[in-house]
Order: sequence, then structure tokens, then C-alpha cells
Amino acid sequence: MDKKIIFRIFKDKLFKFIVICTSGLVLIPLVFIILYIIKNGISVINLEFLFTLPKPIGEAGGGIIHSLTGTFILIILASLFSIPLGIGAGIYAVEHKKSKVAKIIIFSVEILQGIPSIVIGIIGYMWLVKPIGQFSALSGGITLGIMMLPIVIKATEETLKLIPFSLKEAAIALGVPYYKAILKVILPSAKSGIITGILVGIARISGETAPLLFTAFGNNFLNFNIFKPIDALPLLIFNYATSPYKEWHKIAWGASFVIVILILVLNISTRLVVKKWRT
Amino acid sequence: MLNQKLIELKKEILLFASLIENMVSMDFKGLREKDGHLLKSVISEMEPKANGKELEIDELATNLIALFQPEAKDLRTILSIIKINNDLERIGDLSVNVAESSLYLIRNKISVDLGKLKDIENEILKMYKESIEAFVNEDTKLAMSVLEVDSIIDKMEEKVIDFFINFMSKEPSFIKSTMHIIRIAHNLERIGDLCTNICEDVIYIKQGKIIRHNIKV
Amino acid sequence: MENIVLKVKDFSAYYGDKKIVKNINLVIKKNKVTSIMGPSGCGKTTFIRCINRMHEVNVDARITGKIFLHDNNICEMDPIIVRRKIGMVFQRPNPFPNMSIYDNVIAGYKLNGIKLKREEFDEIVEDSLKKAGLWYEVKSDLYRRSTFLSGGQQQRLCIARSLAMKPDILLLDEPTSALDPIATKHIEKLIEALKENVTIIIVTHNLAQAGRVSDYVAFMYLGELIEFGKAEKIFTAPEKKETEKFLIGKIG
Repeated sequence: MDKKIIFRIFKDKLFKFIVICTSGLVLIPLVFIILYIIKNGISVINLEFLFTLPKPIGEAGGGIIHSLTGTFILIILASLFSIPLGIGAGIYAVEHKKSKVAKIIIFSVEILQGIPSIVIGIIGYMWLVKPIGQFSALSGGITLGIMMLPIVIKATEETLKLIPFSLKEAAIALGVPYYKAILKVILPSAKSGIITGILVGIARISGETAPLLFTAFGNNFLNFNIFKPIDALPLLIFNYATSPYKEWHKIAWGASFVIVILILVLNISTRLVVKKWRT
Repeated sequence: MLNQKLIELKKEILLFASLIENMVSMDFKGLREKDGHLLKSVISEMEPKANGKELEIDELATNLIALFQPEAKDLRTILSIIKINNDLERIGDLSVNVAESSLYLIRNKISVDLGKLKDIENEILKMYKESIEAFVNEDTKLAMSVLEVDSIIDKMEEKVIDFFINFMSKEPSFIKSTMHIIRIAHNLERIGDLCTNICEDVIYIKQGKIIRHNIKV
Repeated sequence: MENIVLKVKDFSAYYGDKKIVKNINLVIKKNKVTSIMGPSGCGKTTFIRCINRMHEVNVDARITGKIFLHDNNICEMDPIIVRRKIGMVFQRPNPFPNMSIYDNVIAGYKLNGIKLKREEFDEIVEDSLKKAGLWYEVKSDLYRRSTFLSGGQQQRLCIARSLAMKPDILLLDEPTSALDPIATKHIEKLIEALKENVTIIIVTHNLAQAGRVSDYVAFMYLGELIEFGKAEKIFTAPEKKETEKFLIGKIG
């Protein structure tokens, strides 16, 4: 009897050890990458870097403020596009889940999520850049929005599905009209799940480069006109890292560091949102 | 809810008990004061009232059991009230018999010494009042004392009956009236028996013990 | 003739092609508690949900026949108004989790955009919570979330929420089946007190509960109304065989 138990305990501990080792193995490259970025990027970061425009080649100094503002503007445009559309589609898919339209929505979401970002970029070029006649922040924003859309729809749908039917029942039994019940009772309960979906979507699109190549195109100057081309952090990294200039490589590292921090902040916010509204 | 209904039921049975007590007292008063009207009202007014009351209480108790599934003491109380209800109605019947026989005696102006009857009457009234009091207060001691008195009353009744049987054999012209006197005595003794039933029910309600048929406690 | 609050005439309900409720005719008296009892699947919940038109939430549901609330056909009335005059409390307590106790009670007003003065709302909240027997337990915690309450308290909160709309009828769909015996007792006592203010129709599969709280009892079996009458009569001497069988436990 004793022998069997000892063997079982050994098997248990061995399994635990293997699991810890494999987790460690996965973590190592991750930690390595982040540390490398931090090492190379942090020396570049200073107020000038964050708040000024780039200097001509050869001159030291300069900054990435055009890319920072570009990224933020693109995120806002993408959100304005995908959030109302996404939440609306998500609500429809759940409320009328037996209808053909709902089934099409869910099917489209699955497909959209699988399309490579560069393909979406090309579509954005054909549908948005060509008609307007030039590259623009608007086309970049909408293209990113198309990528964010399925995430928001999915998050809305999944969260709404988790909300017990009894809540809607209670509202209806009080004489509240159907869609008011959805807007004023169900959606507020679904707040945390939907916001999480939005934050995840934003984290996803803030690092996308390929679609922006064909739509926003890039800009060396500060731009607040959405009908003109605009720069973004990933675009900057792409252009500067592949250039022959050493100073530009350093700037690319700095920008990479900024992106990593941005995504870190988004992830932590997601976690806090979930925590706060779980109670 | 059940408590409230139980209180109502108890109130009703006590109202019934006091109606019956009136009937019995009026019997005695009527015979003592030779008042035929009193005795007639016992027979024609109070007895129908008593019957109606019995049906009412029966229905109330049945509904209580059907609607509330009483348990333990509540159950014992309701079941006993149904029995007491029955016993009270029978006491009512017996008091009608007493009234009828008393009426005969009054109409025929019989004035035999009814002194011995009077003793029994007083004892019976006392027994009755104490039985009802024991029920109201769930006083098992009082109930037990009433049970003990019953055997005394039995003896008293025996004596009275013996006396009047003797009397009957000596004065044959008084046979009919004597029969009525004996009937009164007998019915009074029966009333006493029913009072002991009530006391046995009181003990059952309070302690859950059944002491019918002379099973010792 | 006691006041009649609800008249049900030749009423049937269908889910798709299936006839769930078959031809019901009955009358509900004002300020009385009427229980609808029967074995599982007899149609009692379906029936009660038609009374405040909750069946319309289900796309397949269809009804025939008429239900009159004070001589007005509820199918010709605005469903919103029907549901304000006929409130409903469900089996599982369902207070709105994101709202405080105070807001939950006046949810019917707030969600419908009905604006009243603060003092008026305060009065409604206190009055409804008192009627639901919850006021003294929560009066110092009115602005706390409702999720902190126990099951029985949550259910009383739901009752208060319905009462705040000042309904004519309160429908209770097995209101105590998710509660412990003590909470159940509280609610039953509450029903006794509530009927002075509102007419109550309660669905229950719990025979003993039906006996304790009802003035009138309707017995349903396989979608039909088998018997209807005063509680004392039905429980002591029912007229129909099926009623008797149900009461002694042979069916359901």
C-alpha cells in the first residue's frame, strides 16, 4: 500500500515540475523580448522624444509626436466606427438569434477574424482610398475599425448571453418597453464585458502595420485632418527600422518601447475593469 | 395564520361550553323554582342552538385540518376539540332529558324530597365548570381531581337510585314520577361521565397521554 | 356580489400548434388570494403569464379567448399599461443587480422615464417597502446594492418593486420555491396582509401552501380548469375526481 502511494505522490510532483518547466520555457523568450526592447528603447525616451517632430537626417534629436498623435487619432476613428456598429450587431445577434440576419452576423464574425490584416488593408485601399483619391486617416481608421469590429461583436454577444433572462423578464413585467429594457437594464449589466472587448480590440489594432501601409500611408508631420495621410507608431517603426540610419534605428527602438507600454497599460486597464465590475 | 385560527376555534368551543352550562343551570333552577318556562326554553330554544353550534365547530375544525395540516400539540388540540364538541352536544341532549323529566314533575306537582338530587346537581355543576376551566388553562392537576370526583358521584347516584327504587316499591302510585326522578339522576350521572371525557382530553392535549378506559397515567 | 377584478372567458393558449391551456373560464375576486394549483406541466404558469401578456415575449405563443380587467379586454389595451396594472413576481428573486435598493423599488418609474419629485419617490419607496415587510430591515441601507440581501429579502424587494406601481393585481409565480422555510413563512404571512391592498393570484405546486394562503383555489390538470371554488370546500370535499386524486397525491 505504501509503495503505491509514494509512487502516486512522485507522479504528482513530477507532473507539477514538468508544467512549471514548460511554462518557464514559454515565458523565457517573452521576458527576453520585453527586456531587450526596454534595454534598447528606454535610453531614447525623454520629453523631447515624446513631444517633438522628427529632425532632418543628420541632425540629432527629434521625436515621434506625429506618430503618437496619429496612433491615437486612428484608434478614435476605429472606435467610432466599430463600437456602435459592433454593439448593435451583437445585441441583434442575441435578441433575434434564430433569424437569418443573426446567423449571417455570427458567420461573418468568424470569417473576418481569420482574414490576414494585409488583405483587409488592400480592401481598405480599394474601397476607401481610391474613391477619396488619396491616403487618409479616415481610411486607416475605418480599416482598423473593420479589424476591431468582430472583436466587439463577439464580446457583446458573449456577455449578453451570460446575462440571465430573468433580468429582462423583470423589466418587461414592470411595463418597460422591449428596447428600453435592453438599453437601460441589459446593457448596463453587460458593461464590463463589452468594455473589455473594446480594450482588447484596441490593443489588437494599435500594433497593426500592414493595413496602414495601404490606407494611412504615413506622414512626417503632425496632422489633424482626417482626410490627409497620417502616421502611426507601427508605421514609424517599419520605416525607421528598415532605413540605413543609425539614429533612426534608435528612434524605432524607442517607439517599440512606447507601443509595449501602451499595450501593457491597455491590458492592465482591462483587468481592472473586469475586477471593478465583477462585484 | 394557524395560531390565529386555533384561537378562533377555541373561542367558539368556549362559547358553546357556556351555552351548555346555561342549559344545565337552567335545568336546576327550573326544577328548584318550579319554573316551567325556563325548562321549556331549554328544550325548544337552547337545544336547537346547541346543535347548530356543534355543526359550526365541526366544520371549522375540519377546515383547519384540511388547510393547515396541524402537527403535535396543535393536532391534539384540534382533535380533542372535535371530541369535546361532541361531548358538549351530548351534555346538551342529556340536559334536555333532565328538563323534560323536570317538567313532568312540576306539572304533576310532585314534591318529593329532592334533597338528595340537589347534592348531585351541585356536584355535577362543579364538575362541569372545573372541566371547562381545566381545558381553558390546560390544567392537568384540576383535570385529574375531576376524574377522581367522578367515582364519588357514581356512588351518590347509586344511593339515590336505590332510595327511590325502594320508595317506588312502597308507594306504587308514585311509580311514574319516581321513574322520572331516577331518569334525572341517571342523566346527571351521564353528564358527569362526559365531563370526565373532557378532562381526559385535556390531559391528552397537554401531555399527549391517553388515559381513556381507565388506563393509569 | 363581491367585486370581480378579472374575468377569463373561453381562454386558450398555444405554443406553436400545441394547445397548452384549454378553454378556461373563471373569475377572480377583488382583495382575495386565488391559488392556481396543479401538477407540473398542467399549464398553470403558462396561464398566469398570459394574464399580464408576458407570453408575448415568446414568438411562438398565441392566445384565443378573452381576459377582462375591470371590463377592459387586456388584449385591446397597451401591453405596457396592462403590465403596470398587473404586476408579477417570479420564482427566482430578480432584483436589478446594478441598482441600489432604493432604485430597485422605483425601477418601474425610472426605466419608463416617469419623473416625480424626490419626496414623492421617497414616499413610494417607504410605502412599498413597508407593505412588503422589508422597510425596517433595509431603511438604513437604502443606497446599498440589492445583491447584499438574502434570498427572502430579495424576493420581498421584488414584491415591493411591483407594489410601487400600485397594481390592481399581483401575480406570484411560485414565489417561495427558491426560498428556505423561514423565508417562505415570511412571504406567506405577507400575502395574508397584502390582500387588503391588492388582489393576488398565486401559482403554486405546493399543496400545503395553497391551503394556508388561499381564499379561492383553481385546480388545473392537463391544461384544463378542473375545479374552482373556496379553499375550504376544495380541500375538504372536492367535487371532481381529478381534484381528489391530486389532493391525496395520486396524480402529480
